[in-house]
Amino acid sequence: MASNWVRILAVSAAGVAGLTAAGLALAAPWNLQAPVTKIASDIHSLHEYVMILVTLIFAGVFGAMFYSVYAHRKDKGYKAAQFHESTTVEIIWTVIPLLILIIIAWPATKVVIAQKDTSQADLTIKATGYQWKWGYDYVKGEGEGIRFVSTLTTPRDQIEGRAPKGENYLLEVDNEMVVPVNKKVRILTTAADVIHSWWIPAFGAKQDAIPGFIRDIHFKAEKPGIYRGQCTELCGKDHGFMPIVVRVVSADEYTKWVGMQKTKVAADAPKNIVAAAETPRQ
Amino acid sequence: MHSPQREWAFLGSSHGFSLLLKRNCSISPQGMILVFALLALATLGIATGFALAGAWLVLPFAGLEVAALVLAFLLTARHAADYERVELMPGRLCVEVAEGRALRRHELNSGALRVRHAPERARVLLTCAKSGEIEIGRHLDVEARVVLADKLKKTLSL
Amino acid sequence: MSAVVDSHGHGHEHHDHHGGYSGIMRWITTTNHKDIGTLYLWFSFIMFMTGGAMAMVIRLELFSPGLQWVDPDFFNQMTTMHGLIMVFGAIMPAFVGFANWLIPMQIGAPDMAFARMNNWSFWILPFAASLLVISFFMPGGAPGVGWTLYAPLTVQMGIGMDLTIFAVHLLGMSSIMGSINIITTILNLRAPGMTLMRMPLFCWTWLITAYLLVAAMPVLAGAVTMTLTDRHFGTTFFNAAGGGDPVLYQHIFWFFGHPEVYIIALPAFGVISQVIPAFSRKPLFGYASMVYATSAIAILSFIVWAHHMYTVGMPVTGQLFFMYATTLIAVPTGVKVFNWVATMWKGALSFETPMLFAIGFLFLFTLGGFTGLVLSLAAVDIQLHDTYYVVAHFHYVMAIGAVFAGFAGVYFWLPKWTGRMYDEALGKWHFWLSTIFINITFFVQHFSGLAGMPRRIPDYPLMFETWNKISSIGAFGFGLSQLLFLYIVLKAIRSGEKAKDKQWEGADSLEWTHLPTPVPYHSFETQPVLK
Repeated sequence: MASNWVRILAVSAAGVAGLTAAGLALAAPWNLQAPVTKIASDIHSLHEYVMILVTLIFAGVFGAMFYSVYAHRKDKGYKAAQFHESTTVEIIWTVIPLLILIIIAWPATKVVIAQKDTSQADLTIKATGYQWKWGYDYVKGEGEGIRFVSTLTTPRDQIEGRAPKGENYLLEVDNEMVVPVNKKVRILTTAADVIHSWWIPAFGAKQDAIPGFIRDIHFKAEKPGIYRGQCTELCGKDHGFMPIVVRVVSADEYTKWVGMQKTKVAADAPKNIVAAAETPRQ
Repeated sequence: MHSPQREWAFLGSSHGFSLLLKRNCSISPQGMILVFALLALATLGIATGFALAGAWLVLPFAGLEVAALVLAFLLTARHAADYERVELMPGRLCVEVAEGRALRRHELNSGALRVRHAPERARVLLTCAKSGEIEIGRHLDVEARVVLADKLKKTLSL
Repeated sequence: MSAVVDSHGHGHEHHDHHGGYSGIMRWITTTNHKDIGTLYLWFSFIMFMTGGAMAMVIRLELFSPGLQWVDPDFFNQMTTMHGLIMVFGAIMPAFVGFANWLIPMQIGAPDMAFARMNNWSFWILPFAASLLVISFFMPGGAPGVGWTLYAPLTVQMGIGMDLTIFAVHLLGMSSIMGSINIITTILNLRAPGMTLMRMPLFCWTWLITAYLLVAAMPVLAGAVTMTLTDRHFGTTFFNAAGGGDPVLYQHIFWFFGHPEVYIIALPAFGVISQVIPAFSRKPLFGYASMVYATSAIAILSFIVWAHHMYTVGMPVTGQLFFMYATTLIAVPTGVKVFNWVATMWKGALSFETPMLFAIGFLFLFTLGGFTGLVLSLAAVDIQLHDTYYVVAHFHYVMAIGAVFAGFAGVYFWLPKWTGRMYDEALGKWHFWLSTIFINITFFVQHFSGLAGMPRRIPDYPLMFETWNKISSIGAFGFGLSQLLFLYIVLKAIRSGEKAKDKQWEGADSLEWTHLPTPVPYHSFETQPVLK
């Protein structure tokens, strides 16, 4: 009797939970962020493709299991069969998954190769991770020589609950990284202290920033806009408070921005160098 | 419930018998060497790989572990080949005990021999004037020792 | 003429003296595999609750955006210690506890091969655990670097880091001693007729796990030692300024860390392979292929480590090699899942609590396996690495997989161990509460991960609030449900109904077929002979 109650309760609870989740999924973001680069949309489709395959297999395997749970019950008087091996069957269910893996491997390989191809970039920017902010140096391409530090601007009051939280809570910085639209941007990552990781979800670009080493990644944003990400490698106390914000603008606007930065750099040069040198220890 | 039974060849005839008692080792020392050597090789190989990559501090730990494996092997292998042979011939009882590297042989006059089963420590002891007390049945379990003592007593008193 | 000896029923009385000590000294000095198994299991449960309490702190802080309860440093210490304690203190010792209790009985041996060493390998653990706890009270607190202890962040930590390193050494020593003991026991102490291919699968999975432990543990010991010397003795293994490389640490750590995943999963597979056939009243399907699949998983686990490191910037050939090798693991794992389902197929199923947990394991572990397949694809992993998607994935295989297998095992063998039955209705409650709450906790984390929430952050942007609230509620529910588990076990021990010698109709290993319930303190002093 008790176990029946448990079952009814459990099933209804699971149902309620499922419905709630479905309802919430409409309200809260539940999938990869809308892609704005070719790579990100490739990742998107690859993920969808694999999820469909996986869901089908999952449904097949557990369809069989739950049918068994439903039909082959002792309390229904079902008598157990005693078969317990079959080499043929074992071979079949070794080979079929292998084939499925090969089917998945092909598109996956293409995306990996595309991700790793950082050649022929229009613009190269070095992103340096500091505890706990990002430094950007425009190394090559239009805007060469621009350098600045990008720090979280969300006020302590919002973080500590003394003020209402703003729309871009924890995802806002003083100096956004600005890049032109439809240009291949190569990001060189490194770090001054510990490992950080530079990530913009909408670009499908994530690269660890390793102290003493330079690694690279690239993206080509296809839509102007402001894109936000966070450091994704635990880097100490304020790991959660060093966002990455990239503003993608048209070529004209970019040229204008470069011009403005150049005059600013000329004016603030000494100050910036000092700031950059002091950053590892705040 | 089905209860398992254990049978051992015992006391062929009233004229004499030969009984060989060994411990149960489900793997031979050679097999054990092979298994442990493969493990040690894998461990040392991995550690060497890391040493070549610059992380040589894995090596000492691999070394310590191989030492532990060797020790474990020695502990199991040292007594893996131990045996006791108890042979009854007309008039005398031969007891051969191999323990580690030592091999002891006793020839006892079966007429002047007492079999004692010391239950508090579950040992079977043969006592005779010449050699003092000799323990047999080390490789048997408790129940089997009881049976061994009973059967020996019976046979010797025939 | 032959002498016939009965394996039990007489001749044991003089042996039931627990080594001559009573009270606490009995437990400190015991060399009995059953006592030691019990110690391991209780220790593991205490650690499970400790690590669980830390998880509660984490979920409490993440209930809402903003910093409410703890500061970021303490939050990092919580995530670090939660991971270390759960992996090394709760899950691993739990399965070593099962191994101690069951392996000798399942192969018909009187005890473990090295009984005294067995005692030491347990009693090291409480010291190691104490070191971890003490590190919280050191200047700077416990390390806040994540359970992976990545360099060079470890260099910035206080003395708590050194205590943790020492604790990891002790835990490693304990594991190695335990492993050598298990390997020797399984290989050398099998009863006559108990050939390797007749052993219950639990023994097989442990034999292979012990191999993995012996091969992987020195690597971990080396990694943390190099961390220690980098911190204090001027070496630069992981410091680029001195010619080292922080990524080398990650290679070393994950070379240990990936086998570690299977060190946790394989014994769980073993438990499930005992439970499912028992309640299907049908032999395990494809026994031999299960053994081969387990071995294949073990071997593959040594060539896939860098799939934890797709974002460190490996060359494209590296990414591809590790991607292909990793996806290959899906094949033997799939074989295992198919075999379990085939075991249930056309069985006469009944659904007592152990079976419920086993089915829950099968379903949810496979779900975690599939997200593992998604993550194995280097391209997709770049997007999901170090997000909550990964957190959800590994909690599905560990917090649900291994822990559910542990629950299945406890409910399955508790009657045999204690001679008393647990309350079946309460057991079912425990299963359903755990299943519902843990899914609420972790299923939604797939969503927050996909949407872009990094792991190990004490505060998060507003768009992740909904999923975090749900996740926290699930976590509190799951945590509370485990108090019910404690109550069920204590109630069974104190006042449970008497269990039968063969409590489960379909159970067929030696501890059920050859030994009375509760098992005597000394079993199989007469080794059974199997025909």
